Amino acid sequence: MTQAWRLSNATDREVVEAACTGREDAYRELLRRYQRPVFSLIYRMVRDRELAEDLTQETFVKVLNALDTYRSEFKFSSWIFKIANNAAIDHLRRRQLDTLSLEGAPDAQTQERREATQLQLAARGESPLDEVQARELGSSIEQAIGTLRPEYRSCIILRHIEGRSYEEIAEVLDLPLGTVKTYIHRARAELMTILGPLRE
Amino acid sequence: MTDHPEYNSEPTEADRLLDLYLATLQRFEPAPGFADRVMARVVVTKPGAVTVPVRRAAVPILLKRPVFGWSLAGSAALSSTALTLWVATNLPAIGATVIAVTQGAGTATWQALLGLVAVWSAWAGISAAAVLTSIGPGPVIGTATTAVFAMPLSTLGLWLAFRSAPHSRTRIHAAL
Repeated sequence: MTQAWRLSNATDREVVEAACTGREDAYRELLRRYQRPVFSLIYRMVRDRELAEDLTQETFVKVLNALDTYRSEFKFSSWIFKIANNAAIDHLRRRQLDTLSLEGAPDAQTQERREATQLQLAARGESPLDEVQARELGSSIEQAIGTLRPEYRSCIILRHIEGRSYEEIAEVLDLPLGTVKTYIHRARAELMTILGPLRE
Repeated sequence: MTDHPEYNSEPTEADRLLDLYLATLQRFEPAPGFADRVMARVVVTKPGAVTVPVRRAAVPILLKRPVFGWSLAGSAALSSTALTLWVATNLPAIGATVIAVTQGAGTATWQALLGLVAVWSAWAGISAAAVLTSIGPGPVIGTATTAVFAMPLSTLGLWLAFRSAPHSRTRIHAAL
């Protein structure tokens, strides 16, 4: 029996322990297990493939370089999803600030001054990456999820795509259990409203 | 709520349809070579370099330094030795004081005890009474007093001197 076989059957905790003993294949096993779930979460949050890949890479670099601080009383998945979600939320907050600044300097008094301080964006052509993205996020349900508030979006993704329990979602998002249930209920109601016309 | 906390009551047609929509969602995959790009930025832990997080009872910060631990151990050993010597040299005086203080209630209790033992067993009572009367309560009280004062101090000193140093600090499970 090879070591690789044993790792693929080991629990997350055992794989982390193996990684802490210096086994590179254990690091790769964690990557293999979580690169798709983490990338999917971040991608659906930020809705930009290239950016999602950068943020996913940052998440993994942080987690794998800090494995010795991992506390085994928590689920490894909760830990990595928490860091991934925080990375996505931080980015969305920053982008919100950037969007405001694109409108011109907040202290601009006149129309001329506002226009002078506005950033000029180059027109973006449709790259192959954009086409992939349009295909991936283009379905009605993906678009509907994209309109949700970020915290509702995280809840829906973790619950319905990753199949996480309410308790784990509460742990990942640092929210009370009742709040998580409320968010999911409201998010579903919003999705049903958005998708409603499609039923006819 | 039902077994499905997503629903307020029984799932409606709309709930079922939404679940169908959600079931079509799939995980996405990052571009090829993603794992290699991550691994290029990861420092693989060297064997033996890992410190196991250890939870410890809270210890005052001063006691974490060996010099303070040894100082306390030394002073505890010195004080307990001094106390033992003082008790040994002043044993008669201490005994006399204790006897004087406890003479009222103590004598009555002592006599009652001897009487009880004598009633319970004549042979044992006579033997015990003979031994206790010959040595008197002084040495017994002196030894007990010394042990009571000296043992906790010595134990504390030895524990401080031989306790191992903390391995590492406990880290919190925080999002980085």
